[in-house]
Amino acid sequence: MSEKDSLEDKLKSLGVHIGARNLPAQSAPVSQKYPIEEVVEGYYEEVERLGTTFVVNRDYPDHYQHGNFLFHRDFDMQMVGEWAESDILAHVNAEDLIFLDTETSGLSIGTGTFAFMIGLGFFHQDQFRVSQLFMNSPHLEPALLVVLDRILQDCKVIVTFNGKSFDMPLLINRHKFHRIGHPFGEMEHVDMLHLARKLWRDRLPSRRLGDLETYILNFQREGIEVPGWMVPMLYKDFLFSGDARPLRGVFYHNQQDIVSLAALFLHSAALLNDPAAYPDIHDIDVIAIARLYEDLGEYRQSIQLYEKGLQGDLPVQYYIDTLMRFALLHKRQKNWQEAIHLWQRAVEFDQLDACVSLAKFYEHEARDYSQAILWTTRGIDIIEKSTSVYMKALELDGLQHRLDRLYRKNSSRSKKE
Amino acid sequence: MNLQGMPAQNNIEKLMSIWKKEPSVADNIVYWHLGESSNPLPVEIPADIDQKLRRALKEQGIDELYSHQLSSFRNIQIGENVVVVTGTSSGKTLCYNLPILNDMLRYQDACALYLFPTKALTQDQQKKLLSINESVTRQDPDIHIPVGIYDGDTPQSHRKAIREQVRILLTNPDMLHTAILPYHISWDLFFQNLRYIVIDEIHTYRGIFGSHVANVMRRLKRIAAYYGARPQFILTSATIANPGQHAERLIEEPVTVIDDDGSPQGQRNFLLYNPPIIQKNLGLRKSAMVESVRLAGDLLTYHIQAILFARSRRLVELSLKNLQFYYPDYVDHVFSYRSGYLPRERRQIEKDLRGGDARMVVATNALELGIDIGGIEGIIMIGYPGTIAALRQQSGRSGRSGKDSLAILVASPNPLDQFLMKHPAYLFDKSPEHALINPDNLLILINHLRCAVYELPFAKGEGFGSISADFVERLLDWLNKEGLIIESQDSYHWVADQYPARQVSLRTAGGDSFLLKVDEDGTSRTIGEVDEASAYWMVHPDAVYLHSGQSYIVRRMDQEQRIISLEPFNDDYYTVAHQQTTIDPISIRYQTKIKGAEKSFGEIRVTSQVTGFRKLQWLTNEILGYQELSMPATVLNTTALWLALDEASVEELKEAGLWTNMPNDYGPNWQVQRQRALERDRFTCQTCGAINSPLHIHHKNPFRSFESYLQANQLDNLITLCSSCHHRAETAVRIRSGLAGVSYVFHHMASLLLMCDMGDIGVFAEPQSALTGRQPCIAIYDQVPDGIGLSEGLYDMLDELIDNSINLIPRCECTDGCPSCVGAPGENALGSKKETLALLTLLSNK
Repeated sequence: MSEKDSLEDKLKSLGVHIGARNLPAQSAPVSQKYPIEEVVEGYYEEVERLGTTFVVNRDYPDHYQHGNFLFHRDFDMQMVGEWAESDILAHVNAEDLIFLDTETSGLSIGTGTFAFMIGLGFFHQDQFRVSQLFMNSPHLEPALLVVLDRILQDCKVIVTFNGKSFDMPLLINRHKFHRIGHPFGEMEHVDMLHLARKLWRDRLPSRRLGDLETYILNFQREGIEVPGWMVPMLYKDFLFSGDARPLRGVFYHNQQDIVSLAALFLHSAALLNDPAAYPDIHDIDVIAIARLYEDLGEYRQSIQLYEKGLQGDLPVQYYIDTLMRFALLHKRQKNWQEAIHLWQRAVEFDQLDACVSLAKFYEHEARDYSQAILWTTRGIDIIEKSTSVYMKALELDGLQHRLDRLYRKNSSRSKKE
Repeated sequence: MNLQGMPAQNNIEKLMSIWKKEPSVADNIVYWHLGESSNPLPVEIPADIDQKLRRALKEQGIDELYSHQLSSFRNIQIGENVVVVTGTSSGKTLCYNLPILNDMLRYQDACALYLFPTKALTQDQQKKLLSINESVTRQDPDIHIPVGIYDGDTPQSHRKAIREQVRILLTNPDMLHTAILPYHISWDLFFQNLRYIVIDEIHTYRGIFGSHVANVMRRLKRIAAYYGARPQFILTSATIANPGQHAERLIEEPVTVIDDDGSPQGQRNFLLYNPPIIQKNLGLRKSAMVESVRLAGDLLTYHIQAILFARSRRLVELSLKNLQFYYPDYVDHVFSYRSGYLPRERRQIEKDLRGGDARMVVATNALELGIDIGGIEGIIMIGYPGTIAALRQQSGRSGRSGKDSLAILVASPNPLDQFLMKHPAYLFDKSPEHALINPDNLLILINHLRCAVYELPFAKGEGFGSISADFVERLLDWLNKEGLIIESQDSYHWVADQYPARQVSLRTAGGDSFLLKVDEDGTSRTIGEVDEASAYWMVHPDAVYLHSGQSYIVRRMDQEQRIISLEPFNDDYYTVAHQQTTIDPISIRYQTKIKGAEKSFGEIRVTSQVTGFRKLQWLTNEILGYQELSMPATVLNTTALWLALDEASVEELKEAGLWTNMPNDYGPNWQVQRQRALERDRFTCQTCGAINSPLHIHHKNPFRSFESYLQANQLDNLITLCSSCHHRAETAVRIRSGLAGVSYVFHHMASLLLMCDMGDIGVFAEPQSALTGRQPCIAIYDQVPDGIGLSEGLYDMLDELIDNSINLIPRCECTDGCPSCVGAPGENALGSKKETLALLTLLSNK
């Protein structure tokens, strides 16, 4: 028995079974390898002393239709720049953007994870180009990073999906690991996921790129698509078997991720810039944009959008919450009449906070104690009708005190008069 | 009530003289050690210490050093690795803080990593460092040495800042293993400038845990080297027999031992108290807890502030209740303290101790490591805490700042406790305890190699610690076959979609383990893991299991899900499993002839099956009952030390004719049963078929191993034998009983020398064994696959083991064996004091 065999036997007999669940998918020995260049159309880019990177370019013509999004380059980044708090973004053109998405060997951000494919999307001459950089083997990673950096050289703004938590820290670390200076400090980074949350948190069950693609872009992928969770496994199998054929699906997956990311981002930019131009968007989305505008201090537009959205078809609780939020906006702007009007509408739905807000207004701003008493009493009614023990315990005391105080104020005033 | 009273010193002296005159106490004090007080000359703080640091120390009341602090400083200055082995409260912290801070004041970028085994110690250290820091910054606002704790409690929001700015990083081995090393790129600046690594309390890094930590060190050094750093190590240890050897194994570099304690010692009174025997035959003694409470009461009465250490929460609660009941005047001044408390609660008790409001605290060993709580004057330990190092640390809590102190060890019936009562030298002279590890244990090594590849690709020709490049390559090839790593241009890269550090626990030996889950109040929480090899005898269904001082009972063992469901348990017994074990040899690594036998070290296969368990009364070790179990057999491939008795030895024992203890009376039904057996066997020897020679009736399982003559004389326990076959059978029984006695006492004694729990080693004895070519055999093996260094270490300590065992037996007061020496009669050991002693004497060189 050779020494090597006995080591394996020993390990087995000690009960070591680590990789057992991760056996490489090798059915029959592959006599002929299928290198990547024979499976996907592309070329090798040389990097001095470091090796080669495989590059695949796919150009989408102007006016390419991706689901219900039409690709063109006339986009105003003003509003989305404001949202991102980036002056630079607010003033760039679509041609200055680069969209980026990585495919990695795993999901952790430790040093054992690397990106084997980096997809980039950008407007190139008359078209929208998706350029995919692929690494044939782990030792070629430095070359991959150098080719990436070449493309990113003059990039001003980079857009990713969940890049702030994942792709960017990963790429920065991989640069550091190979002692290559990274360019990411010089550019603005926008994470579409954060914007997606702002826009669609209340309406969609998730903000995963796949779901957004379906619900917002109305785009269906083709059968060759592979799910994200399978990607690391497929690359690993390729490394062991040399058969690149299953990687076709990975290239497609990454490509569509880039295109959808670009489409979503550009769509959102346009939407934010001129919501009125999208009369058919969902009413909940209108409110979401209203809130976003409010956060940015664009109160005039925000008010318009709130009004529009409130006329639409909203679920009851969401409608009430929106009334309250809109009322708060008006209150902060000292638009008392509008605020009162909204609170009153909310009270019709037995909204306790609205009663309290009205009571407060009449007590402190208008000094109309009898009105204040009215609304306080109404609030107490609501509590007593309510079946929530919690609400009773929390709120009843407060309102009772208020009522007492109001009676005192009212009677002392009538005494003076 | 004014509890200030007279100065403590007088109180201790007063109490001592009272006890000396009180027979119910004095008669049970088996040893009275009066430690010498010492006041060694302090030394000057070296001139080359930075002025700011000197001032900072002065502000803390330090304007001189102890000699070992200076030695440590000098040795580190010349670039050596150092292990400081001085006692508790000897100022070990300054041994490393002084050189490190001094260096950091000079080199603004230098970084240091401090590793502690507990959170409490880490917190304590941080406080010390911060206060020195504050003082330094006050003197020069431009200087700031960021100190940060990075462990499980560190909030996410702080972690980034710590990674980017910290210069002294305080953490623990688990955190290093899962959260720092696998993410080292985020710590690049820290590693580039890493100059010092401090590892505190290295004696806790022994056995499985220590073997893991040694591998974490290998990975740490590898990553530091990647960033161009070659840090110096400063280690501390409690007093053990092999601090230098252990330190060097842990970090795989030469280490200088500094063990000349230059700190002042007050006069330490150390009493060994053995509760009196109340039942001579069985060797039963009065309860250690009851006696401890009585002594504690005296301490209370004499205003001696003290800590009462009990080994389990249950015992803590019981002791507290007893104290409060018998000494109601002190009810408001006696507290319990255990690790289950919230930090807030613990701080309060510590404050009360400092302030004097708390006169006595009852604790498990939560306080054991390091925390400074001022002038505690007395310590009482209910039962030996498991290792001599732990005992010294617990007793070291008393008498800080050079004042007089009092420590009392009250012995439990445990054989080790009883052994120490008779051999106090071990507690006061050189420690017999060895901290042992086996970092090259294959299971442990391969897991850390996985983590290491994840952290940094391996180049061809690269070794791992002291593991050769060749062997590393073979292991990496294996990982490659398992689909985890790939070879890419002369290096091995991690490609699996896994994060290996998370799958490797530093406390288990790898392989399949069971999760321990406690069901309480409708929720279920995980409290730990147990290796499969240990699970069936440690946490079988209905087992009572002790974890962090709390007793639990196993309600369910789910073998598919690998979950053990536990419930808190407050009844009065604990359990010990019975196993059937067979041993087969695999290989022999080395062998030597010794007196009366041959000793060997090698690999064996242990096949065990748990067949049942006993219930034992908690305070007295009385057997309450036995239950059968059906558990799967487990196979363990591990290392072992074994002794094969010479034929000459066997003959000598036979000729000595150890028959004097055979009972004459086999009970009233003996004649009837005897006749029935003869008839059943048709008056024929059942072994050789003889019919003419005089026939004897032999008990297959010896008479004394049964509770009643009815059971002993049952027909299926009787067999007809001719006189020569009978003689042989009896001899086998005799030898078997001697072997069993030796294995019982070896088990206890070895665990003392090896500083491990009894459960960490298995002991096995057979009159004829496959291991020894049919000669009688005694084997001691590691209960960890591939061995963890225990039996290997024992090979060279065999003489010590034999001699210590001999010393224990004759001085035991029992008649013919008890749990305190060779095992109680009626168990496997059969109460065979004489046989055991004879066997051991044969093997001893003395």
